[in-house]
Amino acid sequence: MSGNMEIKLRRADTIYVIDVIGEMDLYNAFKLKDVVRKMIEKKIRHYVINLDQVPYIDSSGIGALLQVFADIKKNGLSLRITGVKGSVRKVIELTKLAQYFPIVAELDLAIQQLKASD
Amino acid sequence: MSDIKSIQLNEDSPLFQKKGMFHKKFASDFRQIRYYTLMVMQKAPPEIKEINLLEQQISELIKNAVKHGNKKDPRKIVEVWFHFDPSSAHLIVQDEGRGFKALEAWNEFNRRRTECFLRQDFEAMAEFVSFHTPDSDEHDSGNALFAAVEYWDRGVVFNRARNAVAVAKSFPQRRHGIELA
Amino acid sequence: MNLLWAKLFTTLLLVALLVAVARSGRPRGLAIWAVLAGVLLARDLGYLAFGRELIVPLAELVVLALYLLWVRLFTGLQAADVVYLAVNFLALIAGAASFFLPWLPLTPAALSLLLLADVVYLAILLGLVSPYNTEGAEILMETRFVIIAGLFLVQVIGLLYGYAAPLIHNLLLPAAALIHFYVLLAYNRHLHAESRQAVQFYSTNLDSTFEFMENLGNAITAKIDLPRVLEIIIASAVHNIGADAGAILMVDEYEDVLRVRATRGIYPPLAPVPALARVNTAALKRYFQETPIPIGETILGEAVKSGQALLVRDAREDPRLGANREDDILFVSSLIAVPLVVSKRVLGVISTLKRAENRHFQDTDFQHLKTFAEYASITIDNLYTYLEVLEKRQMEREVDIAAEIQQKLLPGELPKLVGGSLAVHSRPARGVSGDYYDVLPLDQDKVALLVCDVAGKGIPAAMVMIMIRSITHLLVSPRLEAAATLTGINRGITGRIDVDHFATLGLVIYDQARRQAVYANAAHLPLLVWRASASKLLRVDAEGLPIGVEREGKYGQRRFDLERGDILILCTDGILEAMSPRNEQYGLKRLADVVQAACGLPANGLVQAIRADIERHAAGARQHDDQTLLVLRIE
Repeated sequence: MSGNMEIKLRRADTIYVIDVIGEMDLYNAFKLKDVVRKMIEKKIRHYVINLDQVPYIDSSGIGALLQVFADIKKNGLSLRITGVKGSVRKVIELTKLAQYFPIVAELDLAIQQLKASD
Repeated sequence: MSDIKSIQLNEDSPLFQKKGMFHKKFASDFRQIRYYTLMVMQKAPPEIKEINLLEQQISELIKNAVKHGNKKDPRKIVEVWFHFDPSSAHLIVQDEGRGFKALEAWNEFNRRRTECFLRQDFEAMAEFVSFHTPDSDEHDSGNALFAAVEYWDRGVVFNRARNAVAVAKSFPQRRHGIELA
Repeated sequence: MNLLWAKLFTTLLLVALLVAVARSGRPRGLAIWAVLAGVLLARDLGYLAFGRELIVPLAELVVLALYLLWVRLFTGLQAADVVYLAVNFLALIAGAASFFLPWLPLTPAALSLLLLADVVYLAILLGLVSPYNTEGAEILMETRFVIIAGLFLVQVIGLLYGYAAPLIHNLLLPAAALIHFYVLLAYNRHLHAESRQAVQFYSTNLDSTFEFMENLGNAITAKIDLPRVLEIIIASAVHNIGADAGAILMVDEYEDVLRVRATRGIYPPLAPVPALARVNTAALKRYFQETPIPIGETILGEAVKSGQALLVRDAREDPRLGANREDDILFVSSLIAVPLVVSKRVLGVISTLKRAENRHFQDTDFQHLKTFAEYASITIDNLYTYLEVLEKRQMEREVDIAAEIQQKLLPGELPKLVGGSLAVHSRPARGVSGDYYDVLPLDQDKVALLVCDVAGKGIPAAMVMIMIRSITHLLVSPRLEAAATLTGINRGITGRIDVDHFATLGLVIYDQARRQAVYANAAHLPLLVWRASASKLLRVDAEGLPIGVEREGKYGQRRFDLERGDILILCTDGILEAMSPRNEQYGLKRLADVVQAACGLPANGLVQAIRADIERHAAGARQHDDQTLLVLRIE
């Protein structure tokens, strides 16, 4: 499949940063759901999804974000989404989800917020 | 005019006029959706504002036709008519499926969803983040259409059989400053 | 010595002072003072001639009317003034008439009462003057106490003692002239100070404008960087007019909103701000920078919409700054906003603030910023034009680079074949093509012909082309079948994270010895085969996905024999979809007709014939897509 996407994990104390790299499209978006599902099983509490390196997102990508957000909320865990810019921001705005998602402008700020909630 | 946009149902919409449009046929191969999209995009002038967004929106329409219309049946084809210039885009995407039965239900869903949004009531909006029909799978959320009615500012119109959708958008033209009245 | 002369002497002194003032510049209202001196002179001469006491209050009537006119020079005439002037005028006429009609009951005492009323009216007028309602109010405010007190005293004494008593006549009247002296001197001093200030204003304005232009000049020669130029403009403006904060907002390129492009100091939004953005200055700054302002909204949006510069001396008095009144992070004390206008187009707005309480901008600051804004507008407009040219050139350069890469990818000259003739035609739609073709001799007998259409444009497409070409050149061998070659190419391209492009590719391997061809196809157009024996154009296709869709994609192939006179045609969409001015596609039918007509010609002649026919069809209509045509004729 074209437009591959990779997911990389970083850890800052109790907070896991999920770097999404590449296009979150109909072929790749499911990968994020799988990764987060496994992380929830491992009882990880704080998540930051960093979309800084995502040049393209489609409705499947948005769907994946919605699913992940719902799973995280259902388990009483916390999520921040950062690096939302360019066409990714546009697509999220078009779907009217910009305020629904816990979007934070910068990664550092997201980590700070999650730390404070600990 | 209300703030809430909806999908129209109008066989006679001028958006269904195919004269002068390019035409392509694609097999309903889910793997090739982004490729089909690029084939269409090849005719789009690069001056178009946010051309990646246009590509994404076209990809959603083709995906709907392949997935929900033709149920990924490779014997069924998707036909696309398209026309671009630097200030507008116009597409018709037609499949061989049974038509978008849930159109009215979707409009109602979108209306209630948008009302939550206009009230800035994101608690209530949580109930409306995903639109599901008996046919949809776990990957469907209806987001493609939520975005489509916003993006295609000159309309999203289905034909009577509900298996063809026509969309059009005008692009703002770049300028520096505004003229004084 | 008769003190009578003292009166005349003071009047003459007044005239001398007037002449001096007139020579040092012509302040407005000088004529009023000249008339006043004339009236006093006439009064004294008239008194000498007639010795009538009534002359004095009559002259005073005129003097007070002149004072009114002088004050009104600053504040503008009001309806009540007409009544005042009319009453004074009637009294004057009546007074003059009573010289000749002694039965008229007009006494100096009655006139004195009127004069007192006049002074009271004048006192009210002067009392109302403030810097906020009157331009140049300073001179009135400076002299008003002396004017009112002096004139009042004179009229009261006149009323009580009459004007005939020598002591009054010879002391009071000359002393009263001192009032006029005082006012005239103060006026003169004031005018001097004003002109000195004006000179100073122009010179500092010039200095700072030069400094500003120099800064800008440096910024521009270093590197065209619009954000930096805007930073310099706002920094210079804030510094030069002693503001606490400043901002430049520009009209968005597409939407009717203003976007913050440069700030200096803490410039708060001039509208209510959500609590979250008020927690600290960093949050406030970010909120201001990220929140677009619709044109027409807030005081800044209004300035852009109207194109009018505005000075809000005291923010507390302007309802548009209602959100910035509290003593908090949003507080604004005084504001200037000047739209950046170039030939009736508003590019944006520059604004400065004073944020310390009770510190207000002055008219001179306003003038300063207007001068800046004018210069900045022209500079920014020029930069826009320059950047557009640069951008266009950049795009052209990219096209050039891609075209150059592509040119190197294409075979310079087609190889000569023993059993056939080869020819090609390739024409990009816009400088750079997404089409790639190649002819590769594999051994003495076999030759590979391929035509490839990369989806996408520019350098990324050219990179995909390079990859396809490299892999193809590496893979092809006389022992590898066409289908297997495609499988290899696809596997090499697909799934690379930096490649999100696709390509269709049609590959023919022709064996000259056996007169046999194999066609494998990655979703490209079918191969067109002209059968000389049947006089028919056939389509030969094989199964396969485009390159780049699926790594494990499988490719089929078709093998078929050829005869002398048969023709193989590989082409791209751009050929069959070439549009006529009436939006008709060229199409297979028309192509078949030309091939039939020209099938006797060698490949070169055939390509020329097809090309000419497409050009006839297009008749100058815009070419939408790249056109490539590769022809092999079996000889």
